[in-house]
Amino acid sequence: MADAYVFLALVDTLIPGDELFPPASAVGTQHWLLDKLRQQDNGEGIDRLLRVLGDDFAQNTAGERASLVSRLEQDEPLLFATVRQLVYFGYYQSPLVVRAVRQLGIVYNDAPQPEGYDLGVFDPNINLPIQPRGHFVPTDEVKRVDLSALNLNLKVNHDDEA
Amino acid sequence: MTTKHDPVDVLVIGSGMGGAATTKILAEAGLKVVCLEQGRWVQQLGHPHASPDWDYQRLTNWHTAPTVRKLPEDYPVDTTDETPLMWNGVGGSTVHYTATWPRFRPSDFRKGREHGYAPDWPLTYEELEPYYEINDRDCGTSGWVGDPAMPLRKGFSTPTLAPGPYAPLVAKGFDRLGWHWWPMDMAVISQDYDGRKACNHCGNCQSGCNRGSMADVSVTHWPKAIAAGAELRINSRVEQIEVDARGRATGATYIDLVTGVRNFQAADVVIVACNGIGTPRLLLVSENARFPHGLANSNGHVGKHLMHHGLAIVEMWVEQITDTHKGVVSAALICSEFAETDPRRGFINGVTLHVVRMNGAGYQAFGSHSGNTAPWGSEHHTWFRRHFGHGVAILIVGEDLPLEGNCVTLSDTLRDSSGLPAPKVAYRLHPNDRKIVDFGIERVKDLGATLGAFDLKVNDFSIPGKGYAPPAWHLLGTCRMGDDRETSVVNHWHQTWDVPNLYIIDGSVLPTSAAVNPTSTIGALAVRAATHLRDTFASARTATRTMG
Repeated sequence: MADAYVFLALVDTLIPGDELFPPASAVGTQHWLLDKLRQQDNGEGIDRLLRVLGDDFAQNTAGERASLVSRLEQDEPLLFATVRQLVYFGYYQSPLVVRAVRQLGIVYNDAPQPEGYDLGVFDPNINLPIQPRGHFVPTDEVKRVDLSALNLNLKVNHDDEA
Repeated sequence: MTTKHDPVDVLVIGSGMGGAATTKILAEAGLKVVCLEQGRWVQQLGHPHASPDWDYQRLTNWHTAPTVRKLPEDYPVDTTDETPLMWNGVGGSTVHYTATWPRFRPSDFRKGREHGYAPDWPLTYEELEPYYEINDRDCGTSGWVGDPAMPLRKGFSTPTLAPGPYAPLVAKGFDRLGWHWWPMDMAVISQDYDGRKACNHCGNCQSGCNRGSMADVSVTHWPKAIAAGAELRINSRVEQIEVDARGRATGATYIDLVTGVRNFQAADVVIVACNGIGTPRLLLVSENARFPHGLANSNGHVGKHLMHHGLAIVEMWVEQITDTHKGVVSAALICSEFAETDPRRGFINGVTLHVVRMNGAGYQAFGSHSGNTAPWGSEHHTWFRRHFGHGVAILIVGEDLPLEGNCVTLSDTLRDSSGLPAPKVAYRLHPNDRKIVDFGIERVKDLGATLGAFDLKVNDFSIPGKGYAPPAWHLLGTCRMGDDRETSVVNHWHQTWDVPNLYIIDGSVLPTSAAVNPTSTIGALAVRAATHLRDTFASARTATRTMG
C-alpha cells in the first residue's frame, strides 16, 4: 500500500496539475506506470525506484520530492528515462487529458481512428509554388564533376569511433 | 523428416514490395508461384489506430525495429551500429513504413560517370521510367505533376494530399530562402481508389494503415496475386536455398514456425526478396560444398556496400499553428534544392529535406523525433502549451556512399528461434556523408531562422562515445546489380551471376542509394525484372549460364 502512495506522488511530481490539466494521478497514470514496470525485467525497476525514492516519498514536501526525483534522474538515468516515458505516454492517452488538450483550441482525437482529421483539400492555385524552381541533370548531361578540391578516400575504419 | 511439396514454376522468398510485385506479375501470367513468408498477416483490426495507447504502441509492439519488437517471427540482428527497420510479415516493411514515394533522379543512375566513387547502374532512369508508372498505378499514389526538379512524369492516381496549415507555412520559408519545394509524391491515396478508402489524415502511418489508404502490398498486391493463383505460405522460415550438381537452384528448405515441420519446395526458378539484410543473410546461410562462401558469392560481394542514407531530423517550434499531429507522417513537402552534386559544397552527392509530421501528444511531450523532451514538474504544462501544435519537423536524407566495409555477415553469437545465424551488421558513415548531413542540418537551421522559430533541436542520430547510429529505415545495396560479374552480384535483370535460375528482387540490388526513400524504385525494379522474367520464362527456367 505504501508503494501505491509512492507511485501516486511520483507521477504527480513529474506531471502536476494546473487550472486546465489534471495531475497525473487523477487520470490513473500511476497504475499504468506500475503495470508497465511489472512487465519489464520482472519488476526489478520498481525495487530500484523505491530504493532511491524511499518509503516516505509521499510524505515529503513538494520540494523534497522534486529533489529526490532529480537524484533519480542523475543516479539512474536509464530507469528515469523509462519512467518518464511511461508517465508521459500514459498521461496523454487519458480521455481527460485529451479533453484538456482540446480546450487549448486544438482538434485532437482520443485516437487517430476512426475519425481522422479534416485538413481541407489541396488547391493547386494556392498550394503550389507561384514561381516553381528546381533543376535536375538529365541522363545524357551527367558529366564528371571537378573533384580536385575534395580529399576523398573510400576507406572507412570500422574500429574508429565516429 | 522433410515434407516435400509438388514442384512449382517459381518460388519467391519474402512478401514485401519486391516479392509481392514479382509474384503478382508471374501469377497473372499463369505461372505456378509459391511465396514463403516467415511472418503472418496483419489483419486490419490488428493495427492500434483506434486504441487509446496508439502512441505508445508505435514504440513497443509496433516498433519499426525487430530488435525492439521481438515478435516470434522476428530475427535478431547482431549490431550496435544501427537500429534497422523491417517488418517480418505479409507485405514486408510496407506494412509500417511511411509510403514516401519520390523517384530517383536521372543522375542517381550515373554516379560512376559523375564522380566515380560509386558505380553506374546498368540501366538508366529512362529505362526504368515505364515501370515506375506501372508500379505507381498498382500501389496508388498522390501528388501533382510539374515538379521542375524532376523529369516530367505521367499523372498520379489521386491528387496531392490535403496540406493543412503546415505545408503552406513551411513553403513560405522555402520561398524566402529561394529554395525549391514541391508536394511530396506519396503512395497514400487522397481519394478512394481501386477499392481502397482515401486517407483521412489520422497521423499514425508508422503503425501501418488500418484504412488501407497507404500502399501496404498486403492490401494492394497480395489479394490480386492470390486471386491469380499464387500461393502464399505464411509462418514459413527458409533455412536453405538448395542447389544441384550443376549449380542450379532446386528450391528451398523451410520450417513451418507453427508446427516446427521442415518442408522442401522445389521450383524451376527461385527469387529472393528478403530485404537488404535478410537477403544476404539467406545467401550466406545457404553455403554448401559448391558455394563455400555462400550462394552467388564467388566474388565476395554478397553483403557488402550496405547503404541506409545519412539521416538527421531537425525540429523547430513556431508561433503559428502547424497541427503536426494531423496528416501523413512523411511528408508534406520535399525540398530538392541540394539534391544534385555540387563539389563546391565540400562533398559529392546530394541531400533532400522532407517536411514531416510529429505524431501524438505523448510522443511530442516525450521529445518527438528530436529528443526535445518536455520538462517534468511545474513547467511541464507551460512547455506543452507552447510547443504542441506548433512544431515543424524536417527530415534530412543524404545519399551515402556504397562502402565495402559497411556490410552484412553472419553472427557468431546470435541465432533466431529456428537456430539460424542472425545477420551481423557493420555500418559507419563516411566523412563525405557526414558532411552531407551536417550541411543539411545547417540549411534547416537557416529555415528555422527564416520561420522565426523560438525553439530548435537537432537529432543527428549520434550516441555519445559511439557516433552515428541511425534508425536504418532503408536497407540497400548488399547484392548490387551491374554489368560486370566481378564487381556485382546480379546482372541488369536481377539474375545472379553464379546461379542462373536464382534472382534477387529487393533493395539489395540498388547500386547507389540516392537522396530519397527507395521503395518506389524497388517496386519499379521489381516490375521490370518480373516482366522480363515472365516474357523469357521458357529459357529462364532451364538457363545454365547468366548472360551479361
